[in-house]
Parts: sequence; C-alpha cells; structure tokens
Amino acid sequence: MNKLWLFLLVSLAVTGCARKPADNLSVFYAHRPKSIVVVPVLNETDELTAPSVFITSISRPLAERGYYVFPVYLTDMILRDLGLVDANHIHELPPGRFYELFGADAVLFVTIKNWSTKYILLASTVEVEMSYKLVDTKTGLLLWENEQSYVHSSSGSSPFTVVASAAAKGLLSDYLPLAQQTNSEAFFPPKGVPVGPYHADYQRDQNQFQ
Amino acid sequence: MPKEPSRTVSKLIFLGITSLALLLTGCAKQEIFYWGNYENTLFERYIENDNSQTEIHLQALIQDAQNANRRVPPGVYADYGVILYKQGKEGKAISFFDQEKKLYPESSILMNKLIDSVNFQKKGSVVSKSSDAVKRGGNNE
Repeated sequence: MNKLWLFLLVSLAVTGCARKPADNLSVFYAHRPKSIVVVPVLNETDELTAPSVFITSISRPLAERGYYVFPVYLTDMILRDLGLVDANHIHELPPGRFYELFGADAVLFVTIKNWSTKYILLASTVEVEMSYKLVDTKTGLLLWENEQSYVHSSSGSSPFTVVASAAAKGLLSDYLPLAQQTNSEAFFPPKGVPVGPYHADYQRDQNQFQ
Repeated sequence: MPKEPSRTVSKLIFLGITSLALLLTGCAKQEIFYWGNYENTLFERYIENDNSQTEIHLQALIQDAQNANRRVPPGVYADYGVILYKQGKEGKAISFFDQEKKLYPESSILMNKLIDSVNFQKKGSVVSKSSDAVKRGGNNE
C-alpha cells in the first residue's frame, strides 16, 4: 500500500506538475461540488464480487482529493431501506433524488466494464476497465468523467506482478490492491478530478489536467 | 571502531539520496485524513459480511486520529453512530451524528434526517420495548 502511494506520488511529481488547463472541465468549475455520494457500482462483468472490492477502495482516494464523501456502507443501507438494491435502477434515477436523500452536491456513478483474468501458459494477465461519471445533483449536468483501463501482466518485471499473480490464484483479498490502484489513478491528474475544498490546492490546480 | 567513519559516509549518502527523493516528490504531502484501518473495516463489512469487529476498529481509528492530532475521515463518526443505533444506544448514536455534522457541515441534511428518525423511534420505543430486541437481533445481518 505504502509503496503504491509512493509510486503514485513520484509519478505525480514527475508528470503532474506542468500542464495546460483543461477546457472540458468548464462545467465542473462552474458548479464546484463539495460533497459526493458514491452509489453502488454497476457491474457489467461476471465477477460477482468486483463491485464490493471497488466500493471499499473508493472513499479514500476520492476524499483525499478534498471532498466530503458520504460513507458508502451507510449510503448502501439507506438505499436498501428504500428498496433500491439494483445498481442498474439506481444509476437511472434522476440525479435530483440524491440531493433529496443525502444532500449531496454530486453523485458518482462507477461502472465495471471489464474485469477478467486470462491465462497464457505460465503467465497471466488481469484486465480491468472502469468508467466513472460525476453528475451534479441539482442540474443533472455531467461534471467529470473518466475511463480507465489496465492490463496487468504477471510476466516480465512490471510492478503489478504480485497483484496479477495473486489475482490469478483467485484470492479475493488480493484483488484489493488492484482496485485501490485503479481508483486512485482515476481521481488523480492528469485525467482525474480537480481538488475540492478540503485540499490545500483548492482552486489552484487548474493547470494539472489534460 | 575503524569502521565508524565509513559508516558515517554511507549514512550521509543515504541521507542525500533520501532528501533527493523527497525533493523529487515535491508534490507529495501527508494525507488530509487519518484513515487507519477504515478500508479494512469496509472490506470486512462488504466482502466478508462480518461487522463484529467494526465497532472496535472505528473506535481505534477515532482514538488514533485524535492522538495524532489528525482529521477523522468523512463518514467515520456517522458509521459509528449507526453501529450505536443498532445496539439500541440512541442517545450516543445521535451524539455521533452530531459530531459528523459539526466536523463536516456537508453532511447536515443526511445527519439531521438520521437524528430525526432516531428521535422519532425513541419516542416509539417507550411504548414498545420489543423494537430494541429486534434491532439487536438485526445487528449480525
């Protein structure tokens, strides 16, 4: 975990500090959410436990971008109490519902598009494809979106070797670092979400994004 | 003893490399919040379907964050309040929802709803004590 963060921070330091302002973030800057509710993850794969693995590793990197992130377990409980169990259904609700229910400025919809392990003789690869959409709850406007896809191979000397080989063994708890990595990278520059009010760089990070 | 100087030199080299690394990670900062084992508690609750340790873990997280003079992450007080509520400790639950609201005003709408709902049920439970037993029974879902 610490190594992952260090790796991430080093790459940030090297790549993240000098970029032009992004123009596709103008809607985001016009609304500047302070709080985000993450609703249950939509799963388009056969890996039944993938949504749980992703939801447990999403609050930390998102909150570390400077946002109030509603507690995901409580969010889940509240939605269940209202009979909202199916992620498909939840993702189709009018965004205004999430303001009524939680008072959240924005809602984050996460979809797992691909999560598969492939075995090629002695090697194995894990493919992950995620989509993230942040929607304003008052206007329904799309504030930010990101698609991340990764292929982690167990052959060669990639830093993901351990993760991929663990995943090949099918150990659920070992998928977690992969989910953590994917979620963190999704929220950080150059394609990530601009920082929110709890971050020291609030309103000063416009030039970090593509 | 004669090895001392070379050890000092290697220490200096080590320090040099470390500070260089620090310089290179110029954008790196301490995390905003103290997370402790929060992700583990989520993993236990979501994936292992086991919330028997959640209370202990959240308690420790709050304590450690306070000891380290760091900020308790969003949602932790609220999560803990829910656990207390499920144990039938309505008053304590409300005080934790209040703490969440105080630390994070963004949570006010939701916390007020939870507080109102607990207060409403508290009045109800004076009439029927059995609802407490139901809540306790539902603790191990």
